[in-house]
Amino acid sequence: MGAAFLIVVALIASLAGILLCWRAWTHHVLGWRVGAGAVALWGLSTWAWIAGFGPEIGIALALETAALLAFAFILTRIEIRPAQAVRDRTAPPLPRRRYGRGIARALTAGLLGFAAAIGLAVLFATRAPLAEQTRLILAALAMPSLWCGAIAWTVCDRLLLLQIGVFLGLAATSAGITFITA
Amino acid sequence: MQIPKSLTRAAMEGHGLLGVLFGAIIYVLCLTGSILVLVDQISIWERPDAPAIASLSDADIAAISVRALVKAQAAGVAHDIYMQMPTEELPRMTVYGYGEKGEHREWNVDASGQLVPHAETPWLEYMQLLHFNLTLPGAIGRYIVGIFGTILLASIVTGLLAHRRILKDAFRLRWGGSRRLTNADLHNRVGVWALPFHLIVALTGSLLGLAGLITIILAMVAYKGDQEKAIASLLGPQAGTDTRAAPPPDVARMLRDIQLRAPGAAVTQLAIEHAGTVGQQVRIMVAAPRHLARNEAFLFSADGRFKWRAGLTDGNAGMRIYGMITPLHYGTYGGVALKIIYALLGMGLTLIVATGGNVWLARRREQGRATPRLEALWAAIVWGQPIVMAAVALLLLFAPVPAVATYWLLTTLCWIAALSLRAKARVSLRIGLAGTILALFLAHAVVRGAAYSIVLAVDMVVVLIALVWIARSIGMLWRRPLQPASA
Repeated sequence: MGAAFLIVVALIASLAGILLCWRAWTHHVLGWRVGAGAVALWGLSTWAWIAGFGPEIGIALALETAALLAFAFILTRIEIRPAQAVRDRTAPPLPRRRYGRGIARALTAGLLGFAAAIGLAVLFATRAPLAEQTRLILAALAMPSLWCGAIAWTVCDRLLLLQIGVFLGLAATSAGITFITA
Repeated sequence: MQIPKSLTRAAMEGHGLLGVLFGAIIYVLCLTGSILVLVDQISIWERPDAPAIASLSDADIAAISVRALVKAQAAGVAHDIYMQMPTEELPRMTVYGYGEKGEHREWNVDASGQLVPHAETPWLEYMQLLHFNLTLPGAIGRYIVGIFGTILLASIVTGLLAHRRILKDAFRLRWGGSRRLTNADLHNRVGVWALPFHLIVALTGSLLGLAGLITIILAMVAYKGDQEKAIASLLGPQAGTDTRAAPPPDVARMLRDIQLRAPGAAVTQLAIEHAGTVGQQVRIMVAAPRHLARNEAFLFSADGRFKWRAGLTDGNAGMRIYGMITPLHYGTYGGVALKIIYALLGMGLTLIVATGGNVWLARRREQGRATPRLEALWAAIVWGQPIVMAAVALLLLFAPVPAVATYWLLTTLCWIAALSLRAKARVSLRIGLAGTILALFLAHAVVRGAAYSIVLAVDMVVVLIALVWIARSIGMLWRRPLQPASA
């Protein structure tokens, strides 16, 4: 099959999946049937992209074009409303910020979160039962992902002591295992 | 299953905190990244007069490699030589010569295969420095960009956790009502529908920025401080340290070898490492269509003997993922059409950052805690940064001004102007942006584009868009401010 034909099939299937979801959304009937139908259509779209460009490129193209098509579709359904002015209000001032806690939070997310993430990544890079390059690359990918998790957890949770304990524990344990068993 | 309300509230607070603290720099990184996706096209736009080459035979490549070595040796930058071959998207060839201390020179190759002075692209280089290093020197800038990539990733995760109405609002985009609602709808719709793209770009960006730091740490622990060994595990054997002079490498033999191993493969890059010495080796990248990695790497010793193949397309999982990281971040695996998709999705991410700040400021205003100075400064970032980037390009058309210093000077002026304009800052900066773009593309059409029909056409289309934009923005400026219903 020609690439142009497959692109057309992929785009139509992707758009059909979006339309199906939109119809269900407007009628408030988002059930498993709609979900299955949308997944089937997006599956067809992904298959067409893979058939045209190979699995590695095809999957990436399927995700990207679906995102763009969905947003383009949403732009066509835009609800125009009359502009509203914001009424001038004056609220009482907020209580003074506790900068010490903010700095502690930043240090926990930044330094301790980094230490825990790099500790686990190094442990994986040195101990995982995989090919050398696979260990290194997966560890390198895991490092920012784990650090991101640490940052997200720290900024989303008021309990700072728990994060400090967990990050210190993970960093110390992973460093201990890495160096003791080296 | 529903996410507990306490978690979404906490996630919202965390999401807001990350945005307030780091939003401005993340915005600059997203904006420059979205523009730089079109690096080849910008290169042609900035210097349409650079010598063009459609394609090269293996014999041409071998002959040019010898000339490149001679030229680089004469210029004292022959430690490592890189040759970037012409492609369909960028039909020009560039040769880079690097000295031992990092000093470098570049040349273009003309249609007869001769090395000629490089057609400089100072605006592109400045934009790359801004995106890769935030204009900071050395590796520090890169690491900081990597850290901001991780923070962007954390913002995406907290934003997702904070969003309780993903399904309920999946297709809702309200425009024109309250400013907060319009911005929130844009922020959430683009954020949710383009989530896979944003996650991939943020993760690969974070990894590319932090790669040097991760390598140093991994090398210290896993390779007992031997950084070269750590690098060699991914990049293959390194060039020898014997610096005695040697004849040029037998590139023709290497290219014949590649044709036996991968018939029909087109060379995309060629690097002579430790060139002209006994320890030299040659790294050749060849195109690998239908693979995300886009290239396969071969390594040869100076006499043309095969040494190593990276396995970016068919090696172990690690090497294949390694090969995919850069193309996934830059969108180089699907031609111009994919680059346009990447630029649009990248602009979507930039829009998310901009609208995120707008929502935060509008909410404060609705709560009666308006911060006019912060609002003006945010406008100076969102609208001012593109003005500054366009203004730097405009100045560079006429004089070789120092781009980075000019960027920071104009950025400071933009902040001062926004703070003095306060309530009118946003609309004024919008007009300013349209005006700067209009001036840039008009000037470019006259100075550079006149002799090149496609470049001239692009310039004229952008000029027309800018004119319409200015007319609309002036209309907004003259419109009487809305009065609240109860006022």
